[in-house]
Amino acid sequence: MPRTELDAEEIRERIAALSPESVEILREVLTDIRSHGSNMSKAQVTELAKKLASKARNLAKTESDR
Amino acid sequence: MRLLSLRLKNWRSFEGEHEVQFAKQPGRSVTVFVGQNGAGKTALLNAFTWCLFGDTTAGFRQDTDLVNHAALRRTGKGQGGKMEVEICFDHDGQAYRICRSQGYVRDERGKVSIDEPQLSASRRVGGATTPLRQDEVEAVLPRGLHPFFFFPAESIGRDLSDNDGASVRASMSTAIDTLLGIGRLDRALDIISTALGSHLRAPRGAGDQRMQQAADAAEAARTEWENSNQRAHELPEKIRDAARLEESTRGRLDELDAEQEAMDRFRELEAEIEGLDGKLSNLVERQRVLINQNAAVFFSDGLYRSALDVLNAAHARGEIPPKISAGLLDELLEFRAECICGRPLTDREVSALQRLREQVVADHIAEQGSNLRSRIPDLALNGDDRPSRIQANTLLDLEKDRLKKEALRSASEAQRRELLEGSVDIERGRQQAELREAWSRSYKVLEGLRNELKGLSRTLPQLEAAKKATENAAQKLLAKSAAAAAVGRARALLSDTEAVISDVQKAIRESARADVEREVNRIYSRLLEKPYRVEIDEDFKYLIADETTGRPIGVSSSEIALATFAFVGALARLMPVYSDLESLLPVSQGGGVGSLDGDVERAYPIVLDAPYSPFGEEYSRRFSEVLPQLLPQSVLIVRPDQVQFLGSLVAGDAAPVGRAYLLQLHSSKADSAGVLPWKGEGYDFVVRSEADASPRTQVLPLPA
Repeated sequence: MPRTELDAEEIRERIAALSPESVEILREVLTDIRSHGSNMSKAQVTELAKKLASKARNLAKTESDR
Repeated sequence: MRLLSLRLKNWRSFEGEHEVQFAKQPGRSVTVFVGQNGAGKTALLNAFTWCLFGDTTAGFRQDTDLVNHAALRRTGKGQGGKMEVEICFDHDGQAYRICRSQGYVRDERGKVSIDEPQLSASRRVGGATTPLRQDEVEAVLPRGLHPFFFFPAESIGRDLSDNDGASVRASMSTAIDTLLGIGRLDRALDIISTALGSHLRAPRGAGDQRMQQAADAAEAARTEWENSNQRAHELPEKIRDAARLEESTRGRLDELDAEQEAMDRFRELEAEIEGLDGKLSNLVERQRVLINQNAAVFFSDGLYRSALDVLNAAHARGEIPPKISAGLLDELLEFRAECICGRPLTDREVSALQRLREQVVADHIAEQGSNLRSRIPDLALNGDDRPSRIQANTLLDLEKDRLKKEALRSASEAQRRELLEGSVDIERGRQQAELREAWSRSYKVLEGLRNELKGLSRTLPQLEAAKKATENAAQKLLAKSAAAAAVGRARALLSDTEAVISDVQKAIRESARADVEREVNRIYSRLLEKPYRVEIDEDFKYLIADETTGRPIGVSSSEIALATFAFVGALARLMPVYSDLESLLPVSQGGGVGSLDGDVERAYPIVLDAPYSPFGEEYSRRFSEVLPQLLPQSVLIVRPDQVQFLGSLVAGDAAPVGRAYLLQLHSSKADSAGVLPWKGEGYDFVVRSEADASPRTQVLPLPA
């Protein structure tokens, strides 16, 4: 039975240690890549970076409001 | 994943519509297609890759030549038609239907135009069907893996025999990256880094100079890390290219070296042959002189001996020296005719004297004979033949030497002819120096790139640490400024996320080599049953070593090909395991953590074209025996001469082959007719069709 040497628990713990806002950032960026595919252009990267920066600002504001 | 069905409509030689079902029952999950050359085996393999990815294997038809020619010819003016390939499969409880088609139309002037291929794909879960884009298809079946999941085994064997190991390794390395989804995490890091570097800067005038300096330092550290990281990502590809160039230059140089060696040998042989010709000529001359000299001795010796025999016999008879003078007898008979006392001889006495005269040789002959008889022992060899024997032995030695040198000359001549037929080109020797220089350059480039990557591997962690430290320092200072605090916090969110992605990526990379090596060896040990172990290095270059000593060993080309197949099998088995990585990441709402436990039953199917080609007879049979245990589903496309290797796959009622088909060629020219013996029946490989019909493939189900 194939098993990976990768320690899934370590990854779970690492993600669980993130703040909810950072998990949201992670979800956002991975979802964007899923939608656009891995082979995106430089312009697409810049556009998504801008969007992610905006999202981060909003999340930071929410976090400070909380 | 389980393949369910394949439908072909006007695809290459498959005129009209054909549908096949794949064997998928546990234990009976091997599907076999048998076809002669030209019956559509490669077209069948390409049907999979074209349908799923819009790609075909190297050397296959161009996109504009995929539609069946007879179908195009039958299309009347103003009419059109469609070529389609449809694959249905199940994956993780969802039913997928992937259909790629190409329309065609014949205009009123009779000209045919072929449309761009169209993808129509969907996924059905429960009762709901969702359309899929190409990238969503590739999320299930990654493009980078298709050369392995749809595996032209014949060409891999050819690659290995052509010593193009670099291209095989490059494909393997790409496959590993695809398997791990490394590209996706790379892009995530790119996006975050760009957001931090370009879109979350501290507002100008928001803080003191110290804050600005800290932000600049963080930016500089990030830029340096990014540049180094990007370079580290680019280098493996550049190293692969450089390795390929170095390998090919070295290969050409080896050829030239071999040619130069051949040329040197050719010249040596010429000198050898010339020297041998001179020696042979001397030997023949010495033999000639010796024979001439000795012939006189041999012949005269014989004559003397014969003469002595004759003279001895004459002596024994009393003829020499003469006891009675022939002259006295003549005088007595012709002139005196009386005895010594004067009495006339009687008739009886005359008659007796006449008989005696007849027996007495002439005096001069008797005298000469007598003289000769006394001299012969001196003339002849006194019965001592030692000198002639010595001469004969010398002659024999010369002859042996001559034969030996003749043999040497023949061997040298044969070698020279062989080299000549091998097209030795003396001019090419001049290219050698240039090529050696080119190889030296390519080797230095390769070595430089490898050293650069090693250096980067050492410095990247330091650069990353510096990036984090300067980023933290900047964030602290940003937090102190009311105007910049929000930016600082946003940066913190992004850099925390960046650190996690980076850690996950490292963990995946570190585990991948070990995972692949373990699975390759599990498969290899089943196929080979020898104490060999495949070791995979950081470049995914594999070498085969003795399991006990760990030393690399020389293996046959079949054993190397089996290692390549073991790699294919390892990918198929690891694919579902690594797909589960997705479930660890919070990609969508509800996503979170999942399990990485794999199950061989979840391994991907593999379609193998001419699987037995690179294996050799013994390993082909072994391959058939263990294949069903290695993979839960496989499709074999085999040539008639490979049917013999199916053996255990088709024997018995519960044989692993659950479905079998004959790719039967219908042709007006039944050039290579033959019969496929299958389960006690015979099936024609070629069926003669009407005179002017184009050859077409009919998919004939066989009893399984």
